[in-house]
Amino acid sequence: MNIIIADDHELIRNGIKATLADQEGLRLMAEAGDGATALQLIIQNKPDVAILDISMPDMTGIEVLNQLGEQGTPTKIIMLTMHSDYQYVDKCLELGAKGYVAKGDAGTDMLDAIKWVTEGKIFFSSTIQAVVLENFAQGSGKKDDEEEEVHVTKREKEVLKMVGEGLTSAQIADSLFVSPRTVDTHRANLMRKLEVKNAVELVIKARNMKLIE
Amino acid sequence: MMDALAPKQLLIVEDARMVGLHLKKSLEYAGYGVVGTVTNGDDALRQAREHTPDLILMDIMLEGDMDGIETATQIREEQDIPIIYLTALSDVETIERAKITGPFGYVMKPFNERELLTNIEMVLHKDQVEKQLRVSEEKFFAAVNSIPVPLATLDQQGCITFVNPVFKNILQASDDLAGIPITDVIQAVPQGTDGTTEHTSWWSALQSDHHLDGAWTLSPLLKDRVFSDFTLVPFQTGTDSQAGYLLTFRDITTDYRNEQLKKEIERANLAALIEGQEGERTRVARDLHDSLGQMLSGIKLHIDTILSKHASPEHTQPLRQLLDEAIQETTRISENLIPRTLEDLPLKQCVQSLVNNLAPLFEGQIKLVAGELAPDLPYSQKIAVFRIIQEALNNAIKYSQAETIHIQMTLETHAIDLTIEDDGKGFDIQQLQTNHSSHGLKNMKDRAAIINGELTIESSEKLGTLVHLTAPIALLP
Repeated sequence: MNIIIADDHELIRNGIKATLADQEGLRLMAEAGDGATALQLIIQNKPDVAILDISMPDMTGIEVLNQLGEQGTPTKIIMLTMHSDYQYVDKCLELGAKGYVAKGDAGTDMLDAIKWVTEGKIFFSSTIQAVVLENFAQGSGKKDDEEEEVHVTKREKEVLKMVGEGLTSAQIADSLFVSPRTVDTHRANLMRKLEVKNAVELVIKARNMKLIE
Repeated sequence: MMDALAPKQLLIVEDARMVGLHLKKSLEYAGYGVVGTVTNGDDALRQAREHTPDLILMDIMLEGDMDGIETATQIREEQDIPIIYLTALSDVETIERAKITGPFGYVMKPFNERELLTNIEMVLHKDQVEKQLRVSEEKFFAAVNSIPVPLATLDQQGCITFVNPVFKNILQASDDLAGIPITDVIQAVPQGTDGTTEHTSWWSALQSDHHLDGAWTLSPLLKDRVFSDFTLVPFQTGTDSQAGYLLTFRDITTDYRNEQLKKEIERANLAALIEGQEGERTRVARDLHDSLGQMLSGIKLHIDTILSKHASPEHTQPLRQLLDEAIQETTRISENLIPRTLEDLPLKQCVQSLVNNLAPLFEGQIKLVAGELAPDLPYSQKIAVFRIIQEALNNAIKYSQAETIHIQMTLETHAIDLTIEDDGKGFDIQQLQTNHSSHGLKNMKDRAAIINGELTIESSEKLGTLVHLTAPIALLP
């Protein structure tokens, strides 16, 4: 199994090398200290697994991942990073990474990560598992949630009511003590959320949805 | 001005010497001075030039080439001396000719003395009053013409009756403006608008308020100049209680441009200050996260590898835990300085991450609605918008007692439109602004200002609090 490591910190690269040393069937093909070199090495050598840091000079790991994705690389990518924010995990998975390992977990989890991704499975190191679970519990990480019900704010409801009464933006602004610019924003947000193109459709749809009488 | 008590000096022009002599005696007896009694036009002209009398008694029939009317015409061309014609002629044609010379009176021969003296008194008095009037009128126009502000008088219908040279100059008007409606001459619109947007018309606003400040552009022709302080004062004359209006205004172009420049410099200074701070935070955060954090991670990696071969897990556990905590602490300090997501991920993901991090501190719900936009904002603009959201969210979580906080963000090609709205108890904006604890509000306003944005905060007990930002955005390609 051929492996490439890319990280701008030699200390980390050496640590990973030490972890991989003496492991049967694992061979370190090459290592890179920046993103651009990493991209080139992966494209040329087509390793089975590439371990990629995110914050690297020249090109971030995310950009490398993006480029590789566009080229349809067969290499399985494991992100090795200090970033444990869910948004990073989400972004990297979206761009095709198969493993996500926090640097603090690498000593204990990297061998498992390599094993899992080569078996075609997604791997999260222990710290990241916790982050993913927490995010799942919050339910805010769901991406395919477009069908979620429409939430209209208090102010938007007032604006809807007055649009329904045929008031102009200027009149609505006067009675809500806000600027016409703000009323326009409320209207635009409402039209987007209710997926309508004009005031008439807005009123009809709002009535159908029982948002106004 | 001549001494009012000194006798008035008269010149007598009369071809009949006897009549002349008699007149002289009568006038001197009545207290007038007589500078001369002449019988022909040439002598009359000479005497008039020499003595500048207060009044001339002029016979129409004279000796020599010129008659009295011709003589009077020439004298009046040279000097402003009132003339009374003495004549036996009473035919209409002569009187018509005499009229052209603008005489002050006629006395028909034969005349009685009383009638003549009364006539002289009246003419002298009238002349004096008219001269005074002319002087004060001249003074008035000299003053009006030298006032360095544009000034116009209008009739009740708003048509121009008079404009001073400064007014004409500003409007680059070469023609006489009298009789033209003021709204044909001045089409003022608020500075920065092109006149097509809906606004109360300049003239009707001025008519109802009598004063307009703010910055105005006068007409498409003068779009480079800025005017203000329009004042419309109704004035009256003795006979007319509402004769018309006096209109003045001020060219504030220089002040206005200076003010704009000053604001821009202030904005640039503020931007430099805040962006400098954020730059420093970014640097320190990166050092912590990328150098110190990485070193700690590296150390842990090595220890894990070495110790897993040479020591039992229970011996290494405390050391590992300590290193994990050190790594987490490094990350936490770094994230508090500035979230790393801002450098690596689009704004929406950064805000989502912020929402996720703050969610555990809030009992209600935080909803983020934002369209995806492939190109992202430049880093400094992204920080400004992010900090506004962060401040507004923190305030809402801490103080609003809201059930729901909505963040809605639209990134269009050149503009961002952002609202952060809660359904909480609201607060008194006025009170907060006069209060020194409004640091957070000022911070949001400053952040908006440095990206040339407009930020408003609305709050009421009934509708909760709304923070609204609109700003032009230079999207990255």
